[in-house]
Amino acid sequence: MPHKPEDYDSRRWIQWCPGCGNYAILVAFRQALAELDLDPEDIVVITGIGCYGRMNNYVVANGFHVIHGRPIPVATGVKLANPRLTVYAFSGDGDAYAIGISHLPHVARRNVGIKLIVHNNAVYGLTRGQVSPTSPKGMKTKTTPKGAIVEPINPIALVLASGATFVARGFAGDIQHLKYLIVEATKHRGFAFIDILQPCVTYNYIYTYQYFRERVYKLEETGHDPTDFAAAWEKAWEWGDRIPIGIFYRREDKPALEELLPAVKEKPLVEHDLEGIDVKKLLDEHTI
Amino acid sequence: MKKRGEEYLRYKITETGVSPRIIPGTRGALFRCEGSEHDEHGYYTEKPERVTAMWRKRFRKLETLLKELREREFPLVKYYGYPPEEADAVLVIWGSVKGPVLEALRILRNEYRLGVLQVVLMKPFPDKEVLDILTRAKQVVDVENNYTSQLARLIREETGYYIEKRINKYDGRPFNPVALSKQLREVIG
Repeated sequence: MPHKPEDYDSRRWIQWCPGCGNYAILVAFRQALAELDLDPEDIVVITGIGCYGRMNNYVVANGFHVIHGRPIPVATGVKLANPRLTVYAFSGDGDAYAIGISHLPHVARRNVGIKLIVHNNAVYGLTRGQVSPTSPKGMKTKTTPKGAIVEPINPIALVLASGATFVARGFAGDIQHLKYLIVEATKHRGFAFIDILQPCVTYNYIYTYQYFRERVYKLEETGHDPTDFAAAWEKAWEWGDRIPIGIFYRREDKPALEELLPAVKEKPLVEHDLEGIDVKKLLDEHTI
Repeated sequence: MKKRGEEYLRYKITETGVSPRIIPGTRGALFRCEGSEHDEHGYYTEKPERVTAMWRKRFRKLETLLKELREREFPLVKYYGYPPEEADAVLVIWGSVKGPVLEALRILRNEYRLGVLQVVLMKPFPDKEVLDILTRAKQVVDVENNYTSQLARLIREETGYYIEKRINKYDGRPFNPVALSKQLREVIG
């Protein structure tokens, strides 16, 4: 029997603020899993530190809640150990664009077949409202009481420049579109990146639902060609009165890292025989 | 209603403190590795009784480990040279200090009868093994390649035994056997 979205609901008490963008992302994610009809045993949900970090608790799937900024390396390890698993790394703007940003260009360059979903609310919500790498210039926060003095980072351009093969942006105010992006990202051959514009109703007074609703438009409705890198690059820098969401760039001709590694090409590491391995000799040898 | 994969408990409370572990992808079981305090399933929890049980389980694991290592005769500590009762001094060391110390023992072989206690495992700490040797020694000297005598502090924390005589080197270089043997002459007397 095909799966329904509620099959992925772990029925836990959810601890996010009423109105938080995380709810829409969670719903879109469950719907996408149902559409893909994945078995919970084949899904791995990896989360970092942030309000969204509880995500693994709210989905019926394997879950890893890891240290700050490290969903990408852990997801890479899981995918390489067993490429048959569908691996989702959930991260935030603090996690993926600040403390863990060093992993981002490399996972894009390596084209590891993981799906990175970034809850980008442009503020540190969990720690109660400090400036983040995507906070707009001038935004007043606990740590920038007179307004942020520097420009925010552009995650779409960063990931594009790093050689990513699937680059998209979603909006937490449009669940159906978000579901579509997650489904397409999952079907993608290598590394897929989705930056999600997520209103933080408690700490971000600029990026509200209304702010985005007035500005976002779907690339799919404009005739944008996602195989055209130059067009994607140009769209990556569009921000202001009009904000594009959808798939900026996509190419399926580049092999994923797990397709190239000799150790996992034939069969997953987890299926290699571990019988008859004696570690005692190694321990004796290396104990000084 | 039980959800799929909930029969398997990633953090099952057991007598040894060790929970059975599966490989993610195993049918009928979900692997939930939770960073915050969790229940047996791996779901986040703040319930005091669950938190308490999880702390007890976690630390029981260390006791189990030490017990098993002893049963399997893993070298928790190593000993070189004269037995503690016969030695003029027992030197306490860890890690890469071993090489130069053994070399210094050779240099001083006609002057002193020395023993060396090398602590191999720091956590869980082999308190019985260390204390047994130290209490039998006539004189104990801690030799470490750091300023604060990290091992001597750990020994005091774990066993209550205070090592007064110490040789520390903290100039960014390893011990030199010849220089060390001179220092040992001064300390041992």
